[in-house]
Amino acid sequence: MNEWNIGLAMPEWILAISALVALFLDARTPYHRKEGVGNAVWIGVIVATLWSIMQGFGLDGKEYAFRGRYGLDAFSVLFKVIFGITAMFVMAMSDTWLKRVDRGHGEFRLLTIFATMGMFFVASVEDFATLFVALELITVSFYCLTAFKRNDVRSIEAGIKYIVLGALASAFLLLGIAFIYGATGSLLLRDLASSGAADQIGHAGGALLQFGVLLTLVGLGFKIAAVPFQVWTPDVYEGAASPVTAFLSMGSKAAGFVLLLKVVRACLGPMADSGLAAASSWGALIALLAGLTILYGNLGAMWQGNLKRLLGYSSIGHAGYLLMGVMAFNHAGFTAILYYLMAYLFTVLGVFAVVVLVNGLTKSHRVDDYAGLGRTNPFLALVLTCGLLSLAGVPPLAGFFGKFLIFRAVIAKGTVVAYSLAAVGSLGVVVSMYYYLCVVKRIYMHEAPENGPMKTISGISRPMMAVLWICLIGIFVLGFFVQPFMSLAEQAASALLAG
Amino acid sequence: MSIGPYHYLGLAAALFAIGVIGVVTRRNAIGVLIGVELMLNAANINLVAFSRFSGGLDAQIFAIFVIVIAAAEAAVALAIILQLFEKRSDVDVDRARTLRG
Amino acid sequence: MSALTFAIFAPIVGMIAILFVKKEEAEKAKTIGFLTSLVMFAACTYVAWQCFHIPEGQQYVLESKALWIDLGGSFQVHYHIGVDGLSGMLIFLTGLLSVCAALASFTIKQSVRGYWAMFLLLHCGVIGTFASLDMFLFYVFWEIMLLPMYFLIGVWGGPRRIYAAIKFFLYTLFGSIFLLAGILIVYFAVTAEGSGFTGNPFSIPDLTDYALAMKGSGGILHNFASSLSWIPTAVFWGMFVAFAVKVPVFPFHTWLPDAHVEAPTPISVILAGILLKLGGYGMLRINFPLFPEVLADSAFIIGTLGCISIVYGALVAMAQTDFKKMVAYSSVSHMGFCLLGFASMTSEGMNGAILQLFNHGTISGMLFLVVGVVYERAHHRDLNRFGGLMWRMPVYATISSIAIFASIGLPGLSGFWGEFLSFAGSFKGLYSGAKIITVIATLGLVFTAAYYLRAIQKVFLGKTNPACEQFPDLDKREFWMIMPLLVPTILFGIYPKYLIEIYQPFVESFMTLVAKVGA
Repeated sequence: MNEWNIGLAMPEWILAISALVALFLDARTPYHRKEGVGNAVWIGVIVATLWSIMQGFGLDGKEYAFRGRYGLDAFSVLFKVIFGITAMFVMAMSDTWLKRVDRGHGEFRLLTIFATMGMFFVASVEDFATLFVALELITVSFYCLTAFKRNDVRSIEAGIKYIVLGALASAFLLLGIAFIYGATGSLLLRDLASSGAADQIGHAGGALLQFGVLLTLVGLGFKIAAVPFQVWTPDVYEGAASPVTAFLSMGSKAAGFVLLLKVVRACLGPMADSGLAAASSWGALIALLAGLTILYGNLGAMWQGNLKRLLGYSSIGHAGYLLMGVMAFNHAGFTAILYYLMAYLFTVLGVFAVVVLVNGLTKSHRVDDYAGLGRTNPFLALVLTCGLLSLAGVPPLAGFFGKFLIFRAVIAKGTVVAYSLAAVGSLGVVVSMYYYLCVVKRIYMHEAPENGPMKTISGISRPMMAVLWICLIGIFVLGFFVQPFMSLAEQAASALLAG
Repeated sequence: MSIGPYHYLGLAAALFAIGVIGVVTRRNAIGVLIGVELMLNAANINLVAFSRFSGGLDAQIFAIFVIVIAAAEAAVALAIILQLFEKRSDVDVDRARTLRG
Repeated sequence: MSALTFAIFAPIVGMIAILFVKKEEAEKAKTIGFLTSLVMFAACTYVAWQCFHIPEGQQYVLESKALWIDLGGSFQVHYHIGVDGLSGMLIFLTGLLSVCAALASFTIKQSVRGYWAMFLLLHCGVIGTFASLDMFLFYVFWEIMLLPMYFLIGVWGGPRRIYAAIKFFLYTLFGSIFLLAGILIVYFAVTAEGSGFTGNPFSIPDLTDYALAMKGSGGILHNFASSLSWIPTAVFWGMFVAFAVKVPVFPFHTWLPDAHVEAPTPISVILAGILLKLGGYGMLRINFPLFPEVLADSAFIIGTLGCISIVYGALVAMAQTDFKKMVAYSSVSHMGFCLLGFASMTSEGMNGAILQLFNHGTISGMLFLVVGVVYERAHHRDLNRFGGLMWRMPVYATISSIAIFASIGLPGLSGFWGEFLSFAGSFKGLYSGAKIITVIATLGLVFTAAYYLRAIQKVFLGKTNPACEQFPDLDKREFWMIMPLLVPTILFGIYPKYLIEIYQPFVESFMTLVAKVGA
């Protein structure tokens, strides 16, 4: 545990090296010839992801690097692969999107790979310092990406909102970390789990630690867009470029949940194990937040006329469902979260891939402007519809099974809080079905206006086509062939719980 | 009177509170940014103080990391604020309300 | 692969074939769709035929079982299908109506490929639901049905189609969430320690046996029932709502007139003929057998709801001037008979209710086809703007009158048996107040006769409306799309024994379940 073992972090090294190569190429090439940068970034992400997969096959229990501050287990490998796939999909979308932008291609790709590197580190976080640095690497990259459309005042405004609230959340997170450190004298997550912190946290004497954990949850709540730290989400989703929104909604959210799971496991896990009364009050707090998040996201989405804004609200709702899994706080709950995120990967990225393509044609994100998509672009309409229905949780699509596992884990708790939360969750499902259907209805049941911009989209790039197909197939496969993905999620959850 | 951990904690708490108040009340984006920096540094003081009085060195090293990150964050924030200024010729966060609904 | 699996997935094969049809050759989709429905019909008939020879001591035939989802522990969802007489009969009905609806769909001109793909997917869901013996699988097929229906109404429907489609979807979804919650609660209850349950917690046969074994000692939820006595009742009513929305039972019926009026003719046929039956089927297969004790306690409420549906549906139908809306409300009224029969818990009542399921399927399917035929010619459905069609379209008028008289319940036609036995059973009903409810419900019969006879008079008799002078009689396709439904209406009207024979084992086992508890 005390070795440096730096070879273990090879995926991160690969990403870092390819980022440096890309940076070098970027400085050497004129602004309109950035293919080299793109290639370096692509190769980096692909190799890093493949390397992570190989590591996953050779993995035996848990291995440490950087003297115990970096860990690799099934959980981290699963998320590295998820992040790698997310990055690839997002890069395919950005390649399409960047064709409409005249400069900044190199920077955009660099920021993407920096954020991806942060996500890879997040998956392996073993102490609070790494946690903070990795999280900031993601967040700062996203600040730039959000405000990337320099000529669009909405993008800049989104950037300002994101950075102000994000920095605020970072400050809370840091203060929380300081308090936890003050109470336990260590920055390592596993020390927190084993230092008898549970006893402290359960008693009045542990006020410092309790306060620290609370502040940490506040900081992470911002990342995952949970109520009451969700206000930035719709604005940033709407203002940012579509590939960035896609990256935010999958990558950034999943990274937030990785950290949340790790922290919750380290702080609250021992407490729940020893059956302290405080465990149930923390559970109730998370349940309350989850319920409010579900209601806020789904009710807010009902009135949206802008598809990206609607997806922003719906992403708040999904954060609520994932929090339900956190509330369950056991193997079943964690497994459910992991499965949900795997399903969410294909679902939400498929949706955004279509959004990127349609926006290139119509220059609009209004739901009304999707009218006639079913007639002009049947395949895109199919992907979008399947994606939206999977988000809504219609069986037998991927999203249904994720939701189902979450509900199963929560109902199995058998407490009144759990039942109420499940009831709120089902209400959210019905509401969400309404607004997703409103989009589907536009696609298929309304005609495009005469002389409108909606027409058949041609010249979809190969990578983009691959993204669309993989997402479509993924949505069905994760709904029908649950078993293999389920066992992946179970292994990862076991690894997480083993510490 | 010797200076103990509580003095540092008190100072940090005061700084943090000032920072929060700054973020909440300031309408100028630069002012908000300064507030956030104050909060980050308050947390830093806590880290260093705890490290000095109870733990090992790791939190002090962490504090150096935080300073670097805060600098990067400030640089990005200022760049974005400048962009807003170019578009709007003011940096009032309350008037940034193109995005709503 | 058993014939049943084939029947479920043949539509999917057809659907995939249609997806490969090129845009220029969209007419091919029609051919593929129709041929698939013929294949489906053949498979369904074979399945139903098998149900006549269920071996002694065996409840289901054509059973197949394969592990689908294994979440560890007892959470194993199987692809478990099989049919008994009840589901076999309804699967046969599905096959029959699919051919008729496919013939009626030839007039669809808009997005032909999409239409047929959805049409076939719908049948996969329907047959799958009828065949499922695993609750989770049942739920999945139940939901698979929703989407194609939503599109079929929303894309190919009338002027208010979008409103109707969303209303249909949200109503059914609202109900099915209760169904899923019920399935989960049952799962947790029977797998909890001390439940004594050894089977598969999703298997419908296992759970039914367990419910029989637990008679008088708290039912399948006795684990929860000891601490929270309201749980079994709540789960029962939750599931009941899920199915009642589909039936539809007053007060969950308001989606039906909208959906029916807006849907294109073939989809109305399927909606009335098959989808409504799924509600009744779900009650018989899951809701009642799992909670026979709660059923006994709730019989009065169910009977009352049935009675309200009958009388209310008939009264509202009387007020309609739109031909299709009238038929739609008559469906509400006629499906009420099923509830009346269920509530009685007598063998006559059950027989009547199940007969009504099948016969209402053929008769209402026929009525919607009849309405569709006249709508194609007149482009309106206003009862007051027809007249004297008897003289212009004699074949059409004859067939329509038979359908209408069958729906009224004229002896000699199949509708009679369902109504008669439902009432006979309901009058002997085991709950207090059964007699009064039955008497009130018979009022519905009078109203039914009133609005149907008025419709006959306005549409077929009297002076020929000048606007209807040029109407041609049924062409070949129209004749043959109605004929498959007319034959069983007359055949089972004269000789219902074949029908009764096929599902009799189900009624017998159901009666033992109910009787042992109720007596």
